[in-house]
Amino acid sequence: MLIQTLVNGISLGSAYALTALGFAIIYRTLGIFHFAHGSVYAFSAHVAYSLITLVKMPLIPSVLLTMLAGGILGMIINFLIYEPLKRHASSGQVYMIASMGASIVLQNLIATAWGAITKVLVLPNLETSLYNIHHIGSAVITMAQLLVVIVTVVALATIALFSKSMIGLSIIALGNDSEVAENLGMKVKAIRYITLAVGSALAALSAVLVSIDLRAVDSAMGVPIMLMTIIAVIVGGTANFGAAIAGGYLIGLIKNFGIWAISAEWDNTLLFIMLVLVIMFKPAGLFGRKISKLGR
Amino acid sequence: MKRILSLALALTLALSLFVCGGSTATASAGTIDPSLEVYKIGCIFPMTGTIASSGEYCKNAVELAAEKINNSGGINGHKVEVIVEDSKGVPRDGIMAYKKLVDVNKVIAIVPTISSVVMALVPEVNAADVVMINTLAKTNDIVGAGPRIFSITIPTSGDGTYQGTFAYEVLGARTAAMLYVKSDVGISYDKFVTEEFERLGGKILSRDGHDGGTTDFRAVLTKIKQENPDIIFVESQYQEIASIIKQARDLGIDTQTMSFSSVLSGQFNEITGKAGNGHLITVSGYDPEENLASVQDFVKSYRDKYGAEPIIDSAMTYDAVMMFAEAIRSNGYTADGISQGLMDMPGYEGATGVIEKFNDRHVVSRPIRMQVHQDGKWLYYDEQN
Amino acid sequence: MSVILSILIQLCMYSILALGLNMLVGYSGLVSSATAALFGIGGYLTALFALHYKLDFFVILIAGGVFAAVLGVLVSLPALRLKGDYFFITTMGFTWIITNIMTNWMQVTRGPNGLTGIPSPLVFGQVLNSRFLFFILILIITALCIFVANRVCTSPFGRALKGMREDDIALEALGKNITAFRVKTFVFYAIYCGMAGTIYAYNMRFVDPTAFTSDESIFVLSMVVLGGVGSIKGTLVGVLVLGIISEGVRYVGLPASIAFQARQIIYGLILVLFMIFRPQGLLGQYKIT
Repeated sequence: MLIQTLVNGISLGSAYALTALGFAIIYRTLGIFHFAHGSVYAFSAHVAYSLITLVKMPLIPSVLLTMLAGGILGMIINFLIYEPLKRHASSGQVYMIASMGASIVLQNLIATAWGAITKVLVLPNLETSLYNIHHIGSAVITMAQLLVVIVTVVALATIALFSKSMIGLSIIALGNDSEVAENLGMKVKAIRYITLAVGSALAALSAVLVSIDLRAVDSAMGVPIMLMTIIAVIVGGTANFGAAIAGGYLIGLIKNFGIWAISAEWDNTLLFIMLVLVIMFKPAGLFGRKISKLGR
Repeated sequence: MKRILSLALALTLALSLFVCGGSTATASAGTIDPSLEVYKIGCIFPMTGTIASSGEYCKNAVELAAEKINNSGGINGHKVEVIVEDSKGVPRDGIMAYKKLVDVNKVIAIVPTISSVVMALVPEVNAADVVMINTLAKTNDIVGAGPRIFSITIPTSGDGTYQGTFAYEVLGARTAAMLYVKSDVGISYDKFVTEEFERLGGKILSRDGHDGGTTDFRAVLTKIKQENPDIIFVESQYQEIASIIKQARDLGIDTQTMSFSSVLSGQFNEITGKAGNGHLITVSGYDPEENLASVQDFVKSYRDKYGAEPIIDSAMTYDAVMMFAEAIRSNGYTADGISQGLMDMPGYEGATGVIEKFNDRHVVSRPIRMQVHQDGKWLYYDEQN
Repeated sequence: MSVILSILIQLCMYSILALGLNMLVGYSGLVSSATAALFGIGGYLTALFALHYKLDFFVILIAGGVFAAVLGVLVSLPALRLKGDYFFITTMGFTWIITNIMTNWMQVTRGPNGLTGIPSPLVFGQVLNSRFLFFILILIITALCIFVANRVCTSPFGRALKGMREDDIALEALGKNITAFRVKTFVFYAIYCGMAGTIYAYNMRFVDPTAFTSDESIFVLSMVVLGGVGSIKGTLVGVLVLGIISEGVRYVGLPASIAFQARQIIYGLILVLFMIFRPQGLLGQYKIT
């Protein structure tokens, strides 16, 4: 059972890690607590549903288009909300409230466009192969779950490589010190857009993978995701991306191992208590180094 | 000459039909008199929020019902209007929605859904001249809750107990795992199924609740696999039950599963596929396959108008509106009149099948049967064996 | 009309909540999401007292406020050394934990079923059945809360808080104990939230976990930010605008098929648009930093 729990934990954790990384990129680079991240996730899941089940597009183009859609939505949010706030030099709390408002608007736009009913994601051509069971020792894993893990690892590796690129370095630099970045003449505005695009695309990728695995999308699915993302990022650590990823995996593992100690209904309470304790005693997160900027 | 005569007759007939207006569905139909008071029925559904999908099904159903009534001449010539308000799935908004319906729209008949909303409204309805038909709330507290509160769904004590008995006596299960959703309904089922199962001598090995909207159950299922019970009770919402069963089968758990009927939506088949075969549900109240004209009419009308299959939420709320209409038709549009009308109703054949007379605690009794899922269809268990 | 009275009572309740939060945000510079949790603690305590004991309304009102304040201090002491976003997230976590306890502690809170059938309040030994008189009572209490808040803000304590908001290092240099101030403002805020909970319980006659979620905290925050942080008048304007819109949206006629989502979208849009175009709120002079 240990292996099975581990397998489930890693599969669940991968999805959280991707979404958390997306969120962390935005938070660290721009200082924005992007509450609308969960809604971007939900939107992407619905786009994936439309492409895969309604249009019957093959898997890989669907996934890529979904990521594109998510990224574009992220940029639109930046254009409509965050850039204007930046021009007014708004405070962090103002961003949070605006983000929250955006989240409500998005969730209900999704419900208007796709209907509030839970929709089933059906893969017309890949039905059997994606839901095949594979064995890892005594544990089982479906192909869909395996896909989540594999694609996450690939995505993380890609991001790691990307962080060495010019754009990647610019993003990190902006996150380190926005004033210096501007003074050095970096195209800060463009980087902001790219940051939102990349962060959102990661959430979109996670959304489509998870939706394929769990087969259901509904307009409110972003809410629990946002919860878990916040916990993952804070508990893991916001100072660096690796910490956020580790946070995601940690949440996935806790949700699966925790059941052996306490009954399922308390698992969220356990996570919240962990959240509060980490914030109070190790605000940099379990895996983060000291926060470089206090009061961020 | 004869030809001209028959032509003239035909023309006159055609003309008179034209003059009389529209088609009428029933022989005793009249037409709506727009000068008469509009009879309003207030509906409080979760139109936004996490349970918004249920709300949509219900709204469709009650609007269909109103349309049908109005197309057959309304209620004694009065037009019927359903006013749907959003409870957002939470009692507070449900209460505010109720107050608006009663104070502003002057509604005296209401159809609320969601157990917590319904229970929050009980004291309000009892203190006012309003009559309520509960359609979906299975909480036991609704039984005999007030002189103008009626329930057309049997409460959890009914089919919950049945599940426990069936598992123990028919299936021979002695150990069980219990999964339930943390809502009034889920908790209620947990209580009654467990009570009965344990009363008979069974043992519940583990019991786990989950929040509505949970999608990943692998953690708790792995634990259950370890415990290896004879049966797994899954008292949750339709989406969750499907996910639980699919994930259980994926994990190699081939234990018998049983739940109540919330799972009756087309999506169960699509999510579980073959994994859903053998799942047992207690049904009392809605069977889309039931060979009754009223049921089939409803299913067809809903499908034709909305292009989707109705679910139990639709069928129940549809019947509630229809029953209100019947009671208003015979007793007039007053809260006490409607209440009396409902009490006096000998029985009703509707979208949810045969509804028997309300008992003195204002609850109908319905036969409870077990159904089993087989290749996309729900078949009656006793017809299988 | 009962519904109008209920809405008015709700507006009074939100006023008290928002005034409390305004004190914290406007004068302490700390944004909290614990509003709903403290509010809920007051609500549940009221329900339990009203259902099981024959206590006077004012006794319950004070008890609710004090209990919330005690819990408030427990939360605030460790969290107050944190700044900005982190303090906010702590309060969010606190709210989630309290909500979870409300949902799972079946023996006391009856979980998702909530506590129903809260009786009419006992005022000076008399049962107050008239909704209108209850409204008058609440109106008086609200007026008192406004008065007290105003006095606190114009007192030396209030002036010190204003100074702290602008430049806390300078103030520290002057020898004032910042943390003590923050704790005091948090206590003030918690008492107001607890009292609002009592009003809620008697207005709705029903409490359950869904009334006290993070969304509720954000809603109250929006009222404060909308109206103008640090301004009492502004806060009350914010309460009126958002309170009326959120309840009033139910009464606006919109095409049926999208009516329900449209209402939520309007509410969300208001938050977004105000933050972009008028972040200091309608009457505020101060932007949160």
